[in-house]
Formats: sequence, structure tokens, C-alpha cells
Amino acid sequence: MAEGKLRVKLPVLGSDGEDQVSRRRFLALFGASAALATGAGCKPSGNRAAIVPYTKKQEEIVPGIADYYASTFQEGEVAYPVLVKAREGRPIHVEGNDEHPRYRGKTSFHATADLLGLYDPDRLRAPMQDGRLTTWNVAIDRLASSLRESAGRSAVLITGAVISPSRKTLIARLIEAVPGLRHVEWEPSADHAGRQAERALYGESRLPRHRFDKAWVIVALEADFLGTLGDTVSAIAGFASQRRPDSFAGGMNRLYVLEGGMSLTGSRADVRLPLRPSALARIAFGLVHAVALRAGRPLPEGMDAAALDGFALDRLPEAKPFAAALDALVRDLIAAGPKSLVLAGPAASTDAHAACLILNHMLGAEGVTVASDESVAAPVLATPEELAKVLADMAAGRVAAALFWDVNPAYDVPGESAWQAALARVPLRVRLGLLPDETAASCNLVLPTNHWLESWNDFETSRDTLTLQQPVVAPLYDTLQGEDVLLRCLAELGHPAGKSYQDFLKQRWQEEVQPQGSPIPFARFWNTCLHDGLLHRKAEPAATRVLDGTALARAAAGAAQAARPTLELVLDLDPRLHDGRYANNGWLQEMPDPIQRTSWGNPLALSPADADRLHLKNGDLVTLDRGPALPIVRQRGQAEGVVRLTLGHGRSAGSVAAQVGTRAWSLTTAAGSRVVAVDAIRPTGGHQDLALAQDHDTKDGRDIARLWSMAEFARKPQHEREAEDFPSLYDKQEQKGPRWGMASDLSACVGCGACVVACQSENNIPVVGPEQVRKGRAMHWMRVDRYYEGEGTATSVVHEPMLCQHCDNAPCETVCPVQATNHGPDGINQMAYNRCVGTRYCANNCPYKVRRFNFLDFTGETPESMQLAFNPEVSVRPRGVMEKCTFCVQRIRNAEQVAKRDGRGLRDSDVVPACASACPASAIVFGDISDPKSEVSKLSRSNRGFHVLEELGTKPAITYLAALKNPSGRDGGER
Amino acid sequence: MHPRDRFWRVVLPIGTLAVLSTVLAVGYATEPDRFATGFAPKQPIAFSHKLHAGENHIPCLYCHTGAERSRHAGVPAVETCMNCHAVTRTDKPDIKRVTAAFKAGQPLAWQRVYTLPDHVYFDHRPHVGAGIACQTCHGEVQTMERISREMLMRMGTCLACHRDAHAAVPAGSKITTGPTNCMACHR
Amino acid sequence: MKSNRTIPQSKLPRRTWLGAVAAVAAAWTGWKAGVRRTDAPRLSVSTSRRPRSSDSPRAPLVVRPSPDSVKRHG
Repeated sequence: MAEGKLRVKLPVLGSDGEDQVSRRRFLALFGASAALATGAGCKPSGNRAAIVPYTKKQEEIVPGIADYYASTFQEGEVAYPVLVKAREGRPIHVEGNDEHPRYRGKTSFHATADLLGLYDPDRLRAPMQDGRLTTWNVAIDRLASSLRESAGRSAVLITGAVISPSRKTLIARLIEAVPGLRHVEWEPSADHAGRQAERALYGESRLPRHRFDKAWVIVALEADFLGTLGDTVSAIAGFASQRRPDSFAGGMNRLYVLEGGMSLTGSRADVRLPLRPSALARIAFGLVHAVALRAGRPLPEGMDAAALDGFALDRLPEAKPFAAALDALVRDLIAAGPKSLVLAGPAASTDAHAACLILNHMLGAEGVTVASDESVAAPVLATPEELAKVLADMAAGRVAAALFWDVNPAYDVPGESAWQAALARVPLRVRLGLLPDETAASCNLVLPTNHWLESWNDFETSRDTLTLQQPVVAPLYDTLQGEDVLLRCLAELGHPAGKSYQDFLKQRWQEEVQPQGSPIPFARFWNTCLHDGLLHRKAEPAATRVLDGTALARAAAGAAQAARPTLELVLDLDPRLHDGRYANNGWLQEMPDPIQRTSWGNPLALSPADADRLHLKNGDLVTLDRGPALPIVRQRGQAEGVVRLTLGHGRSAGSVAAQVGTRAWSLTTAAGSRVVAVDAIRPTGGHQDLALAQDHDTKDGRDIARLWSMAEFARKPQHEREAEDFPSLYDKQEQKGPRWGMASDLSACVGCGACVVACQSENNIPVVGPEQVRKGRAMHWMRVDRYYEGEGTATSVVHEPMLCQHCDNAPCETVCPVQATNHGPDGINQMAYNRCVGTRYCANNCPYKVRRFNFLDFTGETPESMQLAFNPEVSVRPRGVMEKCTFCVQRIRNAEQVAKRDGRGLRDSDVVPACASACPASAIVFGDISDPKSEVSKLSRSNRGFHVLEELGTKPAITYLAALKNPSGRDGGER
Repeated sequence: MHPRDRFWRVVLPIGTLAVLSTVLAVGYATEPDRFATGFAPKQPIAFSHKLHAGENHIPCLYCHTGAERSRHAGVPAVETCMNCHAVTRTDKPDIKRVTAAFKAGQPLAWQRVYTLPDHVYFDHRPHVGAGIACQTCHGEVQTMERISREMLMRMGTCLACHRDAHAAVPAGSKITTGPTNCMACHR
Repeated sequence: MKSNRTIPQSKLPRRTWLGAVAAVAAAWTGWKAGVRRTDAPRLSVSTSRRPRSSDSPRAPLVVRPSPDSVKRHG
């Protein structure tokens, strides 16, 4: 037939008789595959875990109930007392120790974050020799024999600042046993200029100690005492206590900040003068001159007035633009007298520090705001020049053994190449530390030490209190405390000093610390001290310091001759990473800088004028003279001619830390100076997107973060509020029991971000990394927004902690298609993770944008050791689920049961969410807002109170109290 | 009927219904039956509650000490068994195994019977505190040789009692309901 | 005369195929939905003694409380 030719055989299923799949066959196949699918789903009735109880019952542990241990967290020369919460034998949260009179339950957020340091998967787990695993016996043998043989050629022990009397004693014993052993204390974050000035003027150096709660006028010269300078926790607490004129009768303090960049302290200033650091010494002496002249305060002995002649404020060109402000500053200082405090930070020159010391002396602040009567002698720290000499000795082959204990000079000493060359000539290089860091890479004997949560120690940072550190968990890996390594060496060297450091510590406490002739048996004394975490002692106040006036003349001369460079680079410690020691900590890397709001890196801050001149926008790359390309960030309020970079980034070791940011330590001078002269900023034309957590800086006319002057505050009638009853389609919420709410005082809040870290620790909030942060997917339930008002010298900043407002008329609750979020009878906006299908309509509707969505599986690949840090009372959310602040509902539920067990009703002081507990300024108060007598209700009724976006009618449960600025007028000096 | 009409009025509704019912049917059928009653897994040691709790009248809280104090009632440590079995019935092979485990520090992995999903944060304290007998939820344990699950582990079971508690709480108790808001149990 | 069909067609109409695909997709969706998805890791405490050997940096992670520490409360 003719058609046969046209019949084309195409390979289509069923095209001819043989391949045809009949309907019957198809259904059979389908049925079989469906049955297989069903069959695979039928597991023997699912239990996914066995219950594994203890073999030997641990007396201390009731599964499900947390245990609290008192301990201490050391950071450089500060020892913060902490209370560590442990579940089933492992620490999960670090808060402050409420027994300590100075800290009263507050602690540094570095302590909270360093929980991750214990569980860091990068941690060294066993001793290594020449890159291979070894045993402790072999390692100690090698170390001890090397020390023994090194008599003659010197051995060097480099540690951080030693503020532990027991550790100090132990090191002294080692020095006795090893003649020629040099002990060098290297603390890269130290304020060397300040110490030098102190020693020149007083002949001694004490650990700095201030009483900010007694200071009515504070003048800070590049001194970021709220963010990075020493004991920030008690500084924040003391400072904030004087910022609430209505809550704490006593008026308000006044803060003057003179600085180049915008630091956290600068953001809270009542009067901020953007000045070059090079100008500070002259202006400081100008203040000395003015105070001497106007107040008639006598100059210290040995100093004559002629030395100050050139410093009249109206004749200093640097002071001219700020004449009025400086005039007011001087008046305030004189009026406040002993209740004033003048501080300088590491970026100020030695001479500027000297001027501040003189001012405090002249105003009578010594012993009042400057608590030198309570201070103990500061450890003798090595300056960068002294450390350079040690390195030179090493390079010359004069050192037989070098021990690096908890220091990382390979990272934080300028001049990397000199370091490597120096170490190559040292036969035995020993690293005692936690991580395989830059220094460990150059060492042939790497000995892993215990984390502070696994360690015993004591600390003395004031005359009246000794704090103790005790392990909260037994060492996770095959590690030893550094002190135990020394003890074992001492034993091998024939100078046994005790079996373990725990015994050494106890013995020292029994012999030297427990008061002589005490009737209490030592065991009870010891246990009580461990229980409290500290020991109060009656101590004689330290001898009053005597100022050497002749040194001042030299300082004045130095100030007069200080250089005036074209551009100045200021290097500051990063408020999150400190000197770089926390760079491998995901929580701290992701925590945005409080001012720049960048995370995962350190951009170079430029003033807007400088950036405009060079046509730069955020993220554009520049180089400074030589050196790496740096992304810039425009910083409002920064002085022209000043560029600022934070230290602590640019590590080259660590799975989190490596290659994040720029190593600013390479930009310091050999002397470690924090201010470096720069010739030019050169744009490279490149660009790198910043990982910004907040890219909009202003309020755009909305009343979302109120900042009032004192005059406005005085004018406001009591509790004037905008109309609360908007017409609404919402039903009134039913309430049963307490209605939880919060008051957040923006006047006390300094913006430090401790609440952010505490929330992250308590609620298992994941770290998402820089890529996701750039997409706006950071998971922080609590964030601290920063808003600018004004520009240039008139820039004001307000910090506002923003979290789920638990609105009564919540826009998010009505739009969830599966009712995964709804309102509880206690006023909490509830979130059921299991119901959530991930429409994200709720986040869309939330006007505060506090809902966080798990776009990716952020928690699935958490390393095994980091999983131990999770709080077992809070779900770990998978992908596709929405989450937000729950007012720490797990703490509320627990408190309810504890109250029931104790046979009483729940008091609202029983519940303290993580953020409120962590805030050093006590700016966050939580409780029952339906009880008119509760603390939070009283604060909510304040005439400073307002709701954010109140005009939307959401009826939030959180009342914010307006921030107050006190630039002039009655309060401050003239009280 | 125009084909397009037929599509919208017939094919699409029936098709959607078919798809939906298949999804639901297969979903239900393949759901792991970890919630059903009667589940009685084999335990590493054939511990008999009938003997210990029934005949010997050992109180529940002697071993399950967490029930009053904590969210978890817990399972006793091997040491608790040794309290008696260091001397009693030491000839029995199971006792020998327990003793060996205790001496070697080997944990015993008991198979969970009452497993709740991870998003359920059950707390024993208010239930024990309300005077609810263990048997109300766990069945007549003192008659069981091997523990079997006597309560359907679905939220409906919990809600039924939370809505009306008179069957569970002791006579004369002032408690009539339990919380029914989400965050009482889910966080 | 036969119809103009030159391309042999399948015996099953297209709608049957589409229906089959929809059914398989529905079954798969149902199966996936039936398997519970909230697998938050909850940890149990391991109790075996941790060997202090140094021959393996990957020794199992065991958590024990510190024996001589004194707790505040719990």
C-alpha cells in the first residue's frame, strides 16, 4: 500500500504493538510503586532515641534541672565574676555572679560568648610534638629537660597579664627552679601610654578602677570606657545609673567625649567634640591651664605655672572650633570638683594621659571617682619595645626555649617577618593554649590547655575581693591546665610544688588567704568561697598616691611639640573581638558593631566629608599608603582627617576566623602606637559589600526612638501619651494570670549588645555567616538599632533594642494561614514551630521586622561539640520555620513550676529573660504589666514612656523610655 | 459542554479532590505509628514492673525520682538497681548482667516507650503536683511484665484531659482544667 | 481509508498520563508530609568513662561534671 512508506516508526512509547503499555499494566506498576512507598514508611513503631541513664548516679545532677556554678572569667587585666548554668553536667549559659558587690549579677558579654570557646571544634585535643600526636609524659619530659639545660642560655616564658596571685606564685617558683628564666607579660590590648604616664607621675602603676556612679561630669579623651576600655561592665552600670533622672533621684550626669572616630562611648556623649587624637594632648593641657587659672586649684608640687603658658584654650588652633563647648566643660569640671572624672584611652598620647591624671588630682577626684584607694598594683606588662627586644634576643640565638602561654604574638605583634625569623633560631618553641593558632603553627611542642570553664584559679583585681574560678565541667579532651603543666615540670626539675594546681590553690588559700586563727575548718571555708565564687576581705585602703610635679613639666613640653599629621589612622580594639582572641567565635563575629552595624569584618571608617571628596560609598576599597585593600564605611560624626580601623580581625587560623577582615596589627608602628600618621587614602576602584545588619541610619521623621533634651523632658507633662484607643477590628485579648511586658530605658541603654549575645546563647540562635547577613537573613531575635540625628559635630546617636513587641493587636497573628502564631493568655505572642509551613506572611506583616525566617538549614551541620552548647529547653529550629523572641518562655514556664513547688503565686521578679539579666545598664525590666505595682508597670507610666510605631495601633507590650541628652544646664556639673 | 467549561467545572474540581485525597491518604498511611498504644519494645534487661512495683510495692518515685522535681521523670541509674541487687537474686542471669554493667561503667540503653516529639516540652511537675496518679497516663504499670504504651501519644489525648480534668485529678481537687495555649507545651 | 494520522499515537489519552503524574506527585507529597520533620537534636548524656588516651584526637566526646566543684544551687 502507498501508506506503508509513510508510516514512520518513531520511538514513542506505545507506538507499536510490542512496546505498548496497557492500561492494566500501567496501573499495576503504579500500584506497586505506591505500595513500596507505603511499605517504606511503615517502620516498627518509631522511637528514635533510647533513654540512657547514668551508671553511677551523679548526686549533683537531676536531669532537667540546671545547676549553677560560680566562677570567674579573665580578660586581660579584668576578672569578671560569673555564674555558669550547667545542664546534665555541661555548661550552657554564662551570666553574672549576683554575689559580687561591684558587678551585682552583670558580666561581660565576652564571657557569655566564650561558652563557644569551650566547645570550639577547632580546639586542640591532645599534645603534639613536631606535628605528631604524643603523650603528656613525653611532652613534659621534653619540656622539663629543655628547661633544665637552658640554664646559661635563657628561657623565656611569655604569658598574658597575670592577675592571679596563685599563678604568680607558681611562676615565681618556676623562675627559682630554672635560673635564667625570663617571664614576660604581654597584653596587646593594654594602654601602654596610660601606664607610662602613670609611672612617670606616680612612680607606680595600679590596676585602673573607677566609680562611675559617683561621677557627675565625665570627660573622655579617646577613652571608650563603655565599649573596650578595661572593666566596661561596671563602667556601664555606674554610668547608666546616673542617666535616669526620674527613676533614680539624683539628677543626671554629663559626658563629654573628645575623639576622632565614633566609639560606643562617643555615641552616648552629651557633648561630643570630633577631634584629631594628635590634638588631644594640647587640649588636655589647655584644660589643666584653664582649671588652674579659673578655679584657683593649686598645681602639683614641682610644677610651675609657666610650663602651661602656651596652652591657653583661646590660643590653641585645635580648640578654636569648640571654644564654647570647652568653656562649658571647664565650668562643669570646676563645679563638679571631686565628682568629676577625666579619662584617656590607648589612642591618646602619654602626655595627654599625664594631663588627665593632673586634672583628676587637681579636682580632687582621687579617692572619689578614681578608686585608687581600692586598687592593687598592676602587673608589669611588657611594652612593644620590650617585646621587640625579646624577639631580637631570639633572633640572635640567645634563647634556648620559648613558652607561649595563652598569648598569640604571631598574630598581634607588628612585623610578622621579624617574628618568624626570630623563632626559627629557638630550638624549643612551646605553645600552651586552646587553639591551633598562628603562634602554634610556629611551635614544635603544642600543649593543649583547659578552657577557663574547665579550670581552677583565683584572681585579685581589688583590695577587698578575691574571686575564684572553678571548673564547671571536667576537661572534654586530653588537656591540662597550663598551671598543671608547670607543676609537672617543677616536679621533674626536682622542685615539687604539689600534685595538681587544684591542690596548690587550696594550699595557698589555706596558708595565706584564710584569716589566721579562724575557727572555721578550712574545708568549709573553701566550699563556701567556691559556692559564692568570691571572698570579701577587710582591706586597708591603699596609700594615697603622690604626684611628681616635675614629670608634668616634661609632659607639657612633649604636648607642645606633638606632631600635626595630615591624616591619622586610629586603631581601636574591636568591641566584639577584643584583640583578636575571640575571632573564632561565630556569635561575636556575627554580632554587628554597635555603631557601624557591620559584622564579619572591619571596614575602615571615614568621615562623610573625606568619603565624599574621594567619591566613596560604603564598601569601596581603598589603601592607606601601603598595605592591604580595605573596604570603607562612612561614619557620621567622625572628625575629618581621621580614619579608624578596629583590631582583632584578619586572623589566619581558625575555621570561623580565618581570612575574615583585615589584620590591623600590621598597621601599627613597631612601638605599637594606636595612632599612625597616614599620607594618603587611595581608592583602588574595587568594591566589597559590607555585611550590614542595618542599612538605614535615620528615623525619617518617625518617632520611633525618642531622644529628648533635658529641657524637653522638663516640659513634658506626666505621662502624656498619644491616643491609645484606636478604632480596631481586633477582638480584645483575653487575659489569664499575668500579662508579660517589658520596659526598655533608652537613656540607660548604651548600645553594647550584651542582650543580643545573651539571647543568642539562651535561645539556640544560629550563626548564618556573612553571605546571609548581606541578604538580611541574620537570625538575631534581639537587635540593637542605631539611629543618627544631625550631622557633623552635631551628630546624636540613640540605640534602641528591638525585639518582638508581643503586640495585643498583632499584625502577624491574623495572617498565619495555619495559626502557627497566636496570642497566649499571658500576653505572649506564641509561636508553634511545628505548625509553621513557611509562608512568611507574618514577617511581611510585622511592622517592627523582628520575625526571623530559617531560609536555610542553619543548624543542621552544627559540629558535635557545639551542639552541647544548645539550651535543651528551647527547640532548635529546622529550615522553613519562622522564629522570634518568646520573652524567654522557657524561663517563665520553669518559674511557674518553681513557684508552685514552693506553694506560692508567681511573682514577676521570678522571671528574668536572658536580655534583662545580661544588660549591664539594667535598661531592660521585665514583668507583669497588668499589675500596677510591678516595677515594669511603674516604668511604663513614666512620662518618658512611648511605644514604637504606636500610631499603627498594634498595642505592643514593650514600653520604651526616651533617651535623654544633657548637654547643658543645671544637671551635670552644677548640681 | 465546551471543553474549557468541562475543564473548569469537572476536571479541575475532581482532579483537585483526587490529588488532595491521595496526599492525605498516603500521608496518613505512611505516618510512623509511634503514637499508637500497645507498643511494647524489648528492653536490654527484662525488668518486670509487675514484680518490683506490683508484688514488692516499690513506689514509683523511688526509681523515677525526677517526676516531682523536673520535667523528666527519668529512669534510674544502674546504681539504683544495685541498691538491692548487690545482694538479692545475684544468681539470676539478668542480675548478673546488670552487675557487670555497673562494674564496667557500661550504660544500659532502655528503649523509650512514651516518646514525645521534640517540639513537645512535657513537664511532669504540674501533673504529679496536681495529684494525678502515674497510672492515669502510664496505665496499670504494676501489672506489666514488660511496659507497653497505654496512652495514645497524640495531642488530642493531652487536650482532652486539659479541657476537662476531673477524670484524672484526685477527688476533691480544685483543678478542673489545664492550660490549652500553645506555649504551655510548645516552645 | 484510514485517518490522516501519520504519527502513531499512544493508546492512552494524554489526560491519563497527566493524571498518573499527578497521582504520583500527590502520593509523594503525602508520604513526605507523613514523616515528621521537626528533628531538633536533643542530647542525652553519655556516661562512660572517658579514656585519657592520646592516640586519637577524635576520641569520643564525653561530658562529665567536675567532681570537686561546689555548685551554687540547682
